[in-house]
Amino acid sequence: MKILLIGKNGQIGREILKLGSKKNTVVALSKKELDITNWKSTREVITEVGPEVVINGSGYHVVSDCENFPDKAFELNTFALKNLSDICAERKITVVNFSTDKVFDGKKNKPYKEKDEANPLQVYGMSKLAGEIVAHSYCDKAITIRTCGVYGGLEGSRAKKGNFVLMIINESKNKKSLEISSEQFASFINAEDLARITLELLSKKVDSGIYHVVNEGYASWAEFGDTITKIANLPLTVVPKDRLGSFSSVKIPLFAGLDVSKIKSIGIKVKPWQDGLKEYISFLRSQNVL
Amino acid sequence: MKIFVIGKKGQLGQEIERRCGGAPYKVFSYGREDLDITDHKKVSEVVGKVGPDIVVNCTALHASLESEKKPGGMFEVNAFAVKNLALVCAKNKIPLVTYSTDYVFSGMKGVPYKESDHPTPVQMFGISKYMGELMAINYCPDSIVIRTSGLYGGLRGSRSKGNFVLNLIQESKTKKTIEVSSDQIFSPTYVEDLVAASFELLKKKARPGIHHIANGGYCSWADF
Repeated sequence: MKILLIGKNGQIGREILKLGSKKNTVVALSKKELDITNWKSTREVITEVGPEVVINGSGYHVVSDCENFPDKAFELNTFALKNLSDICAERKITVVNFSTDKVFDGKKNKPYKEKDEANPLQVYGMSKLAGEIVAHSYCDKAITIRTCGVYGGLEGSRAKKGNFVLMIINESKNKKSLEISSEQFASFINAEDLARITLELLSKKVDSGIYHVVNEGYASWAEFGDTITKIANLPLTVVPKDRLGSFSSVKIPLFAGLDVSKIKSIGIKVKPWQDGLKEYISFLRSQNVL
Repeated sequence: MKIFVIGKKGQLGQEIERRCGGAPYKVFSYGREDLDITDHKKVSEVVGKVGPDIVVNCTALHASLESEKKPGGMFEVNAFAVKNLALVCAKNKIPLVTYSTDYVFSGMKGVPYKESDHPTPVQMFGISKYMGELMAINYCPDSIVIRTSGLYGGLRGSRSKGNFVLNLIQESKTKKTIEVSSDQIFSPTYVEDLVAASFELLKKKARPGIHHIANGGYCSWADF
């Protein structure tokens, strides 16, 4: 398979490049090398590379920034996908985009399935939902992977300056206790698992559509944080704190667990979230981060 | 009752102004020239100064080939400006009434759409209006979103494209026959009825959220 990967330095992109290169030809570009909000150069690059699959790992992910700059959020998360989808449709290319639990309002209180109705509460989720609709309206070979709570690599996400696990490890160096919200539930995934499952979906040539991909199960952020401190043996006490759902004044879903029964039903193995976390922490140990 | 209308030159805005021109209503209406809805700060200032009991947003940028290629401007008006209006209304504790469209649906259902059907827009215009709906409802919980379809009314119709009735009358002056699409089914709606029903909704203190208002029934454009 010849894959064009956009956003090779992102948390997801790095893992896809690492794993995907084993069996495929991966042409990987950074956000700088290909800015998909530039419609013309996107067309030129795809035409030149001629891939069978485009994996779009770029996105405007910082929730509070999206709130302040909806035009920028939509430019990258929605409008760029219109152009990308048009190009892929013309050339019969499969295009993979990543989306988020934040397309949901969290009121279900049970893990969300792919067919549950979206109702995003903030600009970020709206721009990602609009991006999903654009992808599937303009390209019948689009695959949307909704994920949640991604962590991976040595530096995590560049835009978010790390990831939750790295943040907890860092905090443990100069704090004895840390308050973490107990009312917000999420699912989580090791970026390596996310990359592996994404590539598996492609090699299985699954139908176009939406797929929820996380490590199985869900927990509050407080429980997730507490589990990190236990697995990593950190001298940090997690204090569960009910923040009443506020997250730097932007509304986010209180329950953001994703149901993975669809990918399991097509034969994809999904680890429990605790196992994904253990593997990441072993990786960090092997790299002397811990 | 002070009514703040944005989009006074459109067929909807004109009808609201006509209907509410007198006690107990006082209409403050603005066109594109007086108040640019994408100027968030200005909108907030003017609403604050007028102190209305309700804001009615009749603006929209319609589907065009150009907006498929450059959707930014359309989203500015149909979505981001609605977010700002919703925030302004929430801050002033007043309801926002904003209009949406049958274009939020794909048309695959085959029978008339209900408010509870999942939106499934298939082009940038419908997506931008759907985002406007979400922004209204999530940033101002008292919002009323009215979806309508095939609107016609007034002497000139809408600013950008007149309306279907006027266009047909015009065509009849120079043509003996005309081809009209028979495959697209919709609910034509007279703007006077839309405005009357909108006010009835408000009088009845209808629940916030989405309401469909159209004349009863449906037909193809050819039937119409």
